[in-house]
Amino acid sequence: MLRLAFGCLLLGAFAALASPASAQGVIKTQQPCVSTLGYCLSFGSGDAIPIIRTMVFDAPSAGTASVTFHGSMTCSNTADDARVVDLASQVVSNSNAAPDPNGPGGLRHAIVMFSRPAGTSDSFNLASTRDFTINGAGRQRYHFKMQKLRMDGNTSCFIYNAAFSVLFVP
Amino acid sequence: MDRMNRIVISALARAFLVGAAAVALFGTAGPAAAQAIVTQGPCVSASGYCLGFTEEDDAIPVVRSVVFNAPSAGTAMVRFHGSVVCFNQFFRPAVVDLVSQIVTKAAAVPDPNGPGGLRHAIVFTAGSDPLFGGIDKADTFNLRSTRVVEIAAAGPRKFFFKIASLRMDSATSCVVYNAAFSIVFVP
Repeated sequence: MLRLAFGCLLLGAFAALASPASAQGVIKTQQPCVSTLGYCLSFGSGDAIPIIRTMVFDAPSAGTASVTFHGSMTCSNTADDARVVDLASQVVSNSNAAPDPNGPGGLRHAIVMFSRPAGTSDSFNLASTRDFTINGAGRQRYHFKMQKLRMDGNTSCFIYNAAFSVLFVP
Repeated sequence: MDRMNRIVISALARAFLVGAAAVALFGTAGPAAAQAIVTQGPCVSASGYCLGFTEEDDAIPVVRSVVFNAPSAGTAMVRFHGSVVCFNQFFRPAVVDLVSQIVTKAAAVPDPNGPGGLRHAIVFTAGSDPLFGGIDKADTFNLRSTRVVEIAAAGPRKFFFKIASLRMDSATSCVVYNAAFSIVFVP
């Protein structure tokens, strides 16, 4: 009988150790993106914008991932008259998704830049956060995408840092 | 036999209670409880903003620092919240080109390509001298930054938000607002 009693005690202790461990959060990040040119990537008015950055996260269980993107963008106008740069960005889980500034983790970045030599550049903070529900353990992919709403000729943009971080809570 | 049954039932009940107590104890004071979220109040001076700097300053002071007492080894997600408003008071176009970074040493030089680093650059149109009724040109940068730092052991860790000037033309100035850190810690 005493063995049975100790068994119950051990079961209780195992349950105690197992339950809080599974409730432990996880933080993951990736290194900043930088090319030999001193920034992550750039695109001009005539270019398709590549996926800015992707992060792979191996979820240990079902839970919620709070995905944060960190980065900035500097745009410039080299024309002799005023030009527009109007972009949308979003944190998405489908690499084919079109960025929606009104969707979760979405933003709009728009400016009218004056002609040279004045007012020819400006910067945007791309900081974005989106929460994803994860139904079970497994690999997740998150992308930071940008899309042109309007980008006039002779304008270009440079992306800095572009790093994801994930805070996961079971 | 009845007495024996009572003893057995009593022993089982005690064991169950001890186990349940262990669950409750570990569930609230165990590893899960060592997760933490800490923050600091916004920075504001009597001038109505946190701090300011101009192109005449030799160096931009450390914008803000925070001390985090890590309860154990783990991972800290360090976030900085704030904005900087910059002005051109001159009647010619002017450049303000800044870099910022969350760093772990007060003497570190901010790197826009390092973890938690950013670049903030603008070419202003010409301002008009306020002495002649003109209007300054102004623009705002969001300083929101995130950096993840691995912490090897329990103890105090200090984080700094620094800004450095790559170029600040004559008669430009900037003021920083809010400048507050928050930290999410997971063992």
